[in-house]
Amino acid sequence: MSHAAADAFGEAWKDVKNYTIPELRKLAGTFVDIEAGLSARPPYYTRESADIVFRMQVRATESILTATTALTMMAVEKALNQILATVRVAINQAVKFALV
Amino acid sequence: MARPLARSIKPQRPALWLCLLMMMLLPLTGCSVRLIQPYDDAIEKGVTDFYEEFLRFTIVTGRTRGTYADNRSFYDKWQPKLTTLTARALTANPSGRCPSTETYGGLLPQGVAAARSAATPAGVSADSAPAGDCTAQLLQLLEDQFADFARFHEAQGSLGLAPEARAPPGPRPDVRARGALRGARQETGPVEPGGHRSWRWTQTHCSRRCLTRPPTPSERRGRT
Repeated sequence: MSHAAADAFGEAWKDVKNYTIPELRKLAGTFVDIEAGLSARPPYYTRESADIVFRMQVRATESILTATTALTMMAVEKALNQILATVRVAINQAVKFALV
Repeated sequence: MARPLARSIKPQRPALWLCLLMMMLLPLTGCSVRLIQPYDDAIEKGVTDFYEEFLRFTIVTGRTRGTYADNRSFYDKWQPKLTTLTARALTANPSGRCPSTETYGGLLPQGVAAARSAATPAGVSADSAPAGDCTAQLLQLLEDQFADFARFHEAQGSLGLAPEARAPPGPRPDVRARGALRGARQETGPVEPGGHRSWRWTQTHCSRRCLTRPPTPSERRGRT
């Protein structure tokens, strides 16, 4: 994800790296938690609640990056979409539904 | 011709100006300038009650895996209460604003506005109503976060609030409540040695920066 972020942010990466990596780590932690919650017996997330948790985490990441960097919401959203696109297949396969 | 006339008017001017000044100042002595929002006991009490009840709710519901359907009365009670508290804060200071640098001692590291846009449920634009001072915005944030929590709980269906399930991302509503509580208290100014908050002192002496930090003891001594 951090390699994808470096590509997505381009020249701004050196300025936003310190803020972005911890946020991507949280996003990755959410993916791990969702996968564990859906595959647990009994599961502790439903697909619908997992989707809510994921959307909220993305929104939180977006607003934190917008607030802590000089980038606009649009630029952050575009970069995040690009980052998520690189992990989409792996995550959707892991959770067994189209989460991303 | 003009010179003698000017000489005859000149000595009268100081008295005239003094009279005008007195006339202008006299009505102002009955006015007061409010620089910050007045302390509202109902907001502090409401948020304190919410904080306590939310903590109890998560402990009990987590233990029993309570479902949304079984606990709907909790949301039905607190959603309108929080909306009422927000309305109360907004009407107390309708033109108030909250500086983007306000983080409430790190509770909201990204600032109130950013935290609010992170918590706003999908389909609702946080920018649609960024009105009000910090207390009003924190209460809106608390409302949004509570709505998110309710949606999450409802989506859990028969699973309820399992102990393993994480709360929705970001600080939970109880943390937002701590922020709102801190905001409500901060605006009351410093606490007097006797223990009561000198909100009147704040109202008459505080500048706008009291919204971001209370004055130091030396500042207080210098001003009072």
